[in-house]
Amino acid sequence: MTFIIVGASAGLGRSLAEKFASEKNDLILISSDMRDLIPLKSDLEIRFKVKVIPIELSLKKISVDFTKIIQSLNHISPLEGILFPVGYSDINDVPGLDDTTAIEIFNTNLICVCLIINHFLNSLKERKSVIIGFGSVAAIRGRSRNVTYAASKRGLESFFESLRHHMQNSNVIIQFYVLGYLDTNLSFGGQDQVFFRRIDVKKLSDVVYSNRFRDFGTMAYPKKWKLVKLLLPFIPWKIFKKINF
Amino acid sequence: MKIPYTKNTTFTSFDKTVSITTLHQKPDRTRMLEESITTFQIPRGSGLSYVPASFGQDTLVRELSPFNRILEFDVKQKTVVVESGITLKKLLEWSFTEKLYLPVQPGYPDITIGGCVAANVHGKNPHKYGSFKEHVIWIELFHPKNGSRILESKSELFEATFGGLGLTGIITKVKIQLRDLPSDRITVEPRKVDSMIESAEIFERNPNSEILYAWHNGSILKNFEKGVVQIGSFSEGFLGNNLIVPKKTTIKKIQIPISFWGKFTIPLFNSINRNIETSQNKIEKDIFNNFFPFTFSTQWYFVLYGKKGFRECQILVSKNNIRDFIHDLTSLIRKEKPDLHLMGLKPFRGEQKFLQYCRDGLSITLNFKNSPSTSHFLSKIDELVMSYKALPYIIKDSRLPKNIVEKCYPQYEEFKNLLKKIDPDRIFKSYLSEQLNL
Repeated sequence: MTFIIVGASAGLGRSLAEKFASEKNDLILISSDMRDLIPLKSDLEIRFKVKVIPIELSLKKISVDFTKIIQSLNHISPLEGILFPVGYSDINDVPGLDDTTAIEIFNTNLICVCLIINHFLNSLKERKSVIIGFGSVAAIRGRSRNVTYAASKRGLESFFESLRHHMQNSNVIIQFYVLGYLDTNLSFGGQDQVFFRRIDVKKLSDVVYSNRFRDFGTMAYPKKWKLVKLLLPFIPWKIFKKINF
Repeated sequence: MKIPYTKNTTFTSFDKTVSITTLHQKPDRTRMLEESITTFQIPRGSGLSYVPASFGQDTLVRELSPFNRILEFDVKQKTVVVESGITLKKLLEWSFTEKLYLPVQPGYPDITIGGCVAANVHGKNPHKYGSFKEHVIWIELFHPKNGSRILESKSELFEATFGGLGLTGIITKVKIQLRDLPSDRITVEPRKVDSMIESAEIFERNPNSEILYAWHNGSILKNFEKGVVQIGSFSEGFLGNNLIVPKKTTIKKIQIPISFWGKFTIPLFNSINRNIETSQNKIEKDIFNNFFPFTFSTQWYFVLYGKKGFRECQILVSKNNIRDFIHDLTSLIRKEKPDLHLMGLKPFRGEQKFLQYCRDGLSITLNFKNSPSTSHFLSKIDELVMSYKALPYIIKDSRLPKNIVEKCYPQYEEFKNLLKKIDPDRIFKSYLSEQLNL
């Protein structure tokens, strides 16, 4: 079976690609830079003997060109799921951000994800399948950094909630992970203070794979963040405004 | 210039004698790797070098571990193109499934292929398969000022990059020649020996063995020079279809305050180990454990050196000087009584170029506790090495003085000149390169 992974070139996306390929699934890998996708395709095909189709597609701009994805689906095993480990943030993402960057952040994290899901929803309904989205703890309660990013991810969580409600009687399982801080290159500089240890993306990929057909809705990962997710909105403003994180 | 996605990290050499905090980057996308960063920098693989070769003061450390993919595989030619950050473990996990292997394996499975090139490593069979460069068809080298270029085998920059300590640029891709794997097991015949000369004689009589090395007790308190020669060959056929590669190959970073190894524990340990190893005439082990003796449990040997760490020096003596050198070395040890624990021997062959550790002869490794008396003794060893025009292995001895390397490596100056030619600003540097004035 085939899974589409959007944002597959590095970090969680690459780790998910390795996990799903190691379990003998064919893959369509989407990322903005073919120079990262081609080595990954070769590696997965050589090591796991699966079919991998790389597609260069930037989600920063709309509209999304679906042609290559549709063509690829004709040359690969049936589609079983789409995963969106895609994320784009900017160090200058504070209120007053320039239009171009703000639009790119919204497009990558929210709008293009919605557009891709809308486009492939009907074909996914044909058999048991899954759509997996990834949010962020940054979206639990807005703060003065990662403003547009957090807003996009909160919007995405809402979209997935609606999607799950809409698809409840279908074959399509909708999952949404609210992720703590990932141990990836993007967090390498340690700009964010971390309450808990950073997530090992390999462990997370194992969890995502083993959960892939469980209808749990939204899950905080690691589970410790569930409590934070629950309590953070209730911290009084007088205290919250003083927290620097 | 602010370099994105960097942090300050404290790096420590494997022998624990040098620690430095400096800027650390771990690029995971091609565009990050190829960014035009022209500050002082040094590439880093797994950071398992005994010496501070992959970090330096005010030097950006560019860790290449995310570039660890297999890019091409030619079934007929048995060649593979890999990114330089791939570890031997990952490569072998795959190549074993194709019944292929890389004949030159340094002791640690987590060493990267880029590291194997930069140190021109060898395994337990350099008498038969030479050093790493003999199994590489080409390498791709990236320099922020010059871009990427493919270096074919035998070209000048190719030779300089092997053993070049990462100073010629960032090794990005390597095309490797693999060999058919004859079996999933290796049979080793351990033989008790009483002296290093005896081991050298056994080496001469077994030139075609797959594995050939010896270890000797270094403590002069008891059983000095007594040791074991290991002669190994592939067993017949395959016992199982799944070749076992252990998931965990390294132990957690543990530091004990003092060294467990001392005057009494070392001869005792070596004596027990010698008796255990030679208790059977033949021992059959799986290939992974044979290739990589320094996996999980054996790493305790190094942990037990304590927080002060250890010193190691490795010397390559020309064929016609072996007997005299061993005589002078053992006399020096008896006279100076250093904190010497182990002595390892391997027969060697190869054509030496630039800073490569290879030539026809005998390689002798000495392991010490890190102490002031060791430093004093090593300076005596330096004199001995120079008098025999032997080669000290740069990647093993973090105290090696510049003048020794300058005198022992015939192409030391040529290597420096080549570096200046390809990069007049010399942006690649490390603690080690500064120490050796490279």
